[in-house]
Amino acid sequence: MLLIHGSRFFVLSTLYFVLCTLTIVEGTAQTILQSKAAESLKKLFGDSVAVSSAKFVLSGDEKKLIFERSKSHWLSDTIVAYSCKNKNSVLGYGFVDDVKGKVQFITYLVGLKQGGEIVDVDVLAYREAYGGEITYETFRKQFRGKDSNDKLVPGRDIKNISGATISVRAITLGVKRILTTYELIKERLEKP
Amino acid sequence: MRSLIHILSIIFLLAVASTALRSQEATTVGGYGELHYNEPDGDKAGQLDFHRFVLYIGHSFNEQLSFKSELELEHTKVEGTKSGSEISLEQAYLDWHFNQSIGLRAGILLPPVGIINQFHEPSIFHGVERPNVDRTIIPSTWRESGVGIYGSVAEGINYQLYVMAGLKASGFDSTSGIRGGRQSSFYSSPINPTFTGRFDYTASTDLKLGGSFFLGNTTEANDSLGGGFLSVLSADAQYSYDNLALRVVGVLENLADAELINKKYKKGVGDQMIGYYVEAAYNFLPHLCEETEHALYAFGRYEKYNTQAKVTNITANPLLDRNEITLGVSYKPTYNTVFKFDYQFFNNAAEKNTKQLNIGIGYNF
Repeated sequence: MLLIHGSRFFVLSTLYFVLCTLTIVEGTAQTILQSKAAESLKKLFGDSVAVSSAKFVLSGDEKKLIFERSKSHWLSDTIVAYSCKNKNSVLGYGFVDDVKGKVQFITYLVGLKQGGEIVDVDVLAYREAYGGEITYETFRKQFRGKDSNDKLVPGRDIKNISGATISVRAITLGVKRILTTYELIKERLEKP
Repeated sequence: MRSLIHILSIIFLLAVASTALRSQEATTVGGYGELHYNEPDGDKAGQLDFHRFVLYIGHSFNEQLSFKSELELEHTKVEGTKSGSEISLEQAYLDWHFNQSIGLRAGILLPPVGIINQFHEPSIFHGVERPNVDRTIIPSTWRESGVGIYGSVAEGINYQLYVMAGLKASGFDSTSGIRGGRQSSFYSSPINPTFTGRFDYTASTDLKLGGSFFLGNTTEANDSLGGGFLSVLSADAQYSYDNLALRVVGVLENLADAELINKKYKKGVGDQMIGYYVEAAYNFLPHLCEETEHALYAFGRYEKYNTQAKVTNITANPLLDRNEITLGVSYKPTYNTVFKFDYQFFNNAAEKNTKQLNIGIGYNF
């Protein structure tokens, strides 16, 4: 009996250990991503900016509207927005998002000025074997200066790169979704 | 009661743990296919053929490690010995993407020679049939078991370098060049390991340049045939400006010991095989409808290829010195669906020229 209890204890401890490890690994990835996002935003808005983040919950109606306007869905109801402040004034915002490439997720950041104009799009993690051309300056510069009034049709408004079509489409639709989301939640973002 | 709590907590923990694991693993299913109608000009009737039906299965094990595969059914069914109809595993490999600079790939790979062998979905090339240079000189779909590395050395410059099982000279012939020498990972002999690779330069969103090679012996260590060293060198360029898209591909193949190989197998393989094509396509739909997301391309392609560009102690057959003109349209309602129509003029140095009408549909997802 003691032996059985002992083995149960062992199984339970192992499972707790596995669970904790998984949580820690996921936590570490989040931390790395957050520091990468902050680093990227400092490049866009200057080293002296203070970067803070806040979570926003999207309502069902908001998600529906975002899909109608951008033709793509957020993967979760909660999104994280970063604010970049210099002293007391907000210089801009950052949104981090994942879109699916051919098999792997692409993690990217969109930096927006107050008013919603794109400062830059930065790819934080590219995990696909093909299509890495979307991380190149020559591709990313196409997004600069665009805002939610731009249609951003992949292949027309944002040029395709041969061999990278899936990644080009994925990130372009994602950026359009972030621009649309900014328009919907900008009042909430501006609240201190 | 205590054991019930224990059991329940085990179930709960297993459920949580498996959810966490599942969130890291994901399977992707995709595919492509193409239906062709080919009608030779003259007395012969045309033929309808669902040429290729391909399923992709990809799986992401974690952020770095993934599996990719392509399973193909050609000509709708496999029946008796009807040539061409087959089910084949066209790609199946593990991809370990360490970072942007280097990744490791192992399994059934595509030699990265030319454009079509790597990217052959019907929505990304013009014409119902693939260019014949990409069939006869670069034997697409060319696949073999191998291992190698890939990555990016600087922004815009990508490389792929692989070692794979080689080609067999016993399959080479006068008409299709090296095509019959492919082992296609079907009990492949590794006795002639081959080195293949490619460099891509993405100069801008408008211009992409590529250079590729495939080097190795082909005579399976049969000393009486020499090494049969084959070198395949290829260069390609893709340029787009506004609604215009241009594509140029050139291939040069040199085969050592062709004379000895021909003495044994008597199939008249050339010492040198050469091919190139230029293609221009223009999407004129935006002129008719500014807001459209559809595309309607008119295109023209000129191909020239010869599987006996140089021969030793045999007479080159002028029928094999071929050039082709393809003129047609591709209508794309979405980026990944296409309706095609074209007309082809097949000419050769013997002036026994033929023509063919082609209609096709294609998709990929």
